[in-house]
Amino acid sequence: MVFEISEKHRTIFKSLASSWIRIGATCVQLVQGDEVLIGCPDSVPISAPIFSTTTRDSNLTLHVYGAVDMRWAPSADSMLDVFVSLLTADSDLDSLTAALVETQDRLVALYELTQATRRTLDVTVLLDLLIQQSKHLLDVDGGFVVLKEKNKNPIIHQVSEKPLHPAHMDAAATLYHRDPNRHIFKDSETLPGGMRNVMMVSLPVRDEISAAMGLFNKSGNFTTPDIKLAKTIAGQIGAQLENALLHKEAVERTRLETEMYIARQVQTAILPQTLPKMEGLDIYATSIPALEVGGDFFDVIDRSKESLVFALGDVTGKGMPAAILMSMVHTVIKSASRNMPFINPHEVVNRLNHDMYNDFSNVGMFTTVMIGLLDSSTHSLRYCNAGQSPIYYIPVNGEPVLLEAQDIPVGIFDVHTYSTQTISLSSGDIFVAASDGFPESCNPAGEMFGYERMKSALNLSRDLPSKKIVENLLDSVYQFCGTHPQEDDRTIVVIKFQKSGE
Amino acid sequence: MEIIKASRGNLSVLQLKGRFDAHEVEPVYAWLAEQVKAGNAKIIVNLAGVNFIDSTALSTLVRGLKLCREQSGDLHICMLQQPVRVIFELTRLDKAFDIFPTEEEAAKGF
Repeated sequence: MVFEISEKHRTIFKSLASSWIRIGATCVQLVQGDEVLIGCPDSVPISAPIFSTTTRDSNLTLHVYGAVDMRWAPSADSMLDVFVSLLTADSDLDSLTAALVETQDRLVALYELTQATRRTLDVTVLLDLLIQQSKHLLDVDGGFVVLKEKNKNPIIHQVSEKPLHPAHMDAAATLYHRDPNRHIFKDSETLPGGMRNVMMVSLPVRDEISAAMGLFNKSGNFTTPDIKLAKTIAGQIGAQLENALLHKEAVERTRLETEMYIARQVQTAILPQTLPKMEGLDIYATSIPALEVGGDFFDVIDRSKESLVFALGDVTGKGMPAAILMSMVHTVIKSASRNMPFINPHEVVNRLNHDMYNDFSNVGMFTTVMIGLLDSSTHSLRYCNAGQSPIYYIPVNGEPVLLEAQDIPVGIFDVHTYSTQTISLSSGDIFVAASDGFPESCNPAGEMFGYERMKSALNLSRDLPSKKIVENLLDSVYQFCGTHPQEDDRTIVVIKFQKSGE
Repeated sequence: MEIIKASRGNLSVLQLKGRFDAHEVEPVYAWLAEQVKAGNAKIIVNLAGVNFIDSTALSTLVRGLKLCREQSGDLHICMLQQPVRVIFELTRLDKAFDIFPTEEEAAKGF
């Protein structure tokens, strides 16, 4: 034990020593090992002490020099005992005061941390505060937090002058989660790179998230009180962290909802509000967007009294990217259909591929599309199908036929020549173009509506007007799907051909 | 979905299992881009374990195909299950990709 000698100790020692000097001592010294702690007088005596006494446990010796009667020797023992008791009591008081001051410091730091965290809902700021304060209070090189939630990228945040590799922090968290009752890891063989020792505590957030804080490289090592302190800090911050995480999710959700809302607006705005009327044709078309909007589009454009163009397509992907590309595709088709002197629909698709190949490549998407040109004067329907499905032709005297696409979707190869197919229409023939949102609709068991059910539903309503055919098909899909939500847009164009005069 | 990365001689092979949809495309595209960047532009995607593929997954394969062909390589697809084969046929993407019945034939096809 090393004692701090204060001025008060010197004064008391001198007054005790003066009694010895009165009875013949020349000098009295208090010695620890070889070091003289106090001497009275300060001058170094030349002869050996007349008697000395040493305490059993604190390694302190009292030397008395000069001509003193040996009968007084036991008084030296008493003086040493009294003086050591005084030193010990003062030393205990000092450590108690230091401990109190430290506890006070920690309480103040915790209070400040709680106050600071109350003012923020930013997860990063919060984690930063948490680690900074823990690092400061526990006197470590650095700290980190690992937040993991199923199906989400982990959040890893660290504060350290010598940053660790994220994989190493992740590994430390995994090590801890294997046995959450163990907090201190110091075995260099089991620790990931960059850590001499690490203390892990969990952050109290909701069960779905595994959250742990690690503090690493403390000189010496972590102790049980360190675990208690870290747990207290983690407990204080956990509740606020939970709020911040919920806030972050709410912001993200609002952003997605806004994006979906805008995407729906874009899609709804560009689809035709009214359909052209033409003698001998019964046309109905509609698009029912999914909650997370897909890239379906359709249009019916009249070119002359006898001919019209209809288009239906599906841009891959969902949300804003799909909606933006879809509106571009739609514009190209509309302008080509109105202004190009074409007679074959594949020329519109060639133009679309030529104009938009780069845009599709840049965003890694493509579109399926079917474009039809119906001429009521020649009773012919010419169409180009670039990957669109399903397309049904229902001849007046036969079963519905699925018309498979002849060509690849648009946006895949920069040079590709598309082709046109021709059907001669008889009065009563029906042509149906739809998006895969119909056959791929699922019921709660995960079973798909499928092509066969779609074909049967169309066949059942074939004698009804176009609008009714669509409504009945939608009813069948709704009934099949039950409570299962609509995952993709459902878009359909139905054209019934009647020879004029019939 | 499970993603297994392998190689076959100088070819990079990706084996996928489960539902291949919009939620799974990111790591697949990252791997394809990484391979092409590292000079491995001859890639086989084995879909033997895939029972459903959506349009976002298809466009990811198309992106991969374009990357490979830009570097004079190719992306071969093999072992399609019936429902997935139907989707490739309906969208006519069977004309855009070289599709093989086995991984071995896909390798020989380069």
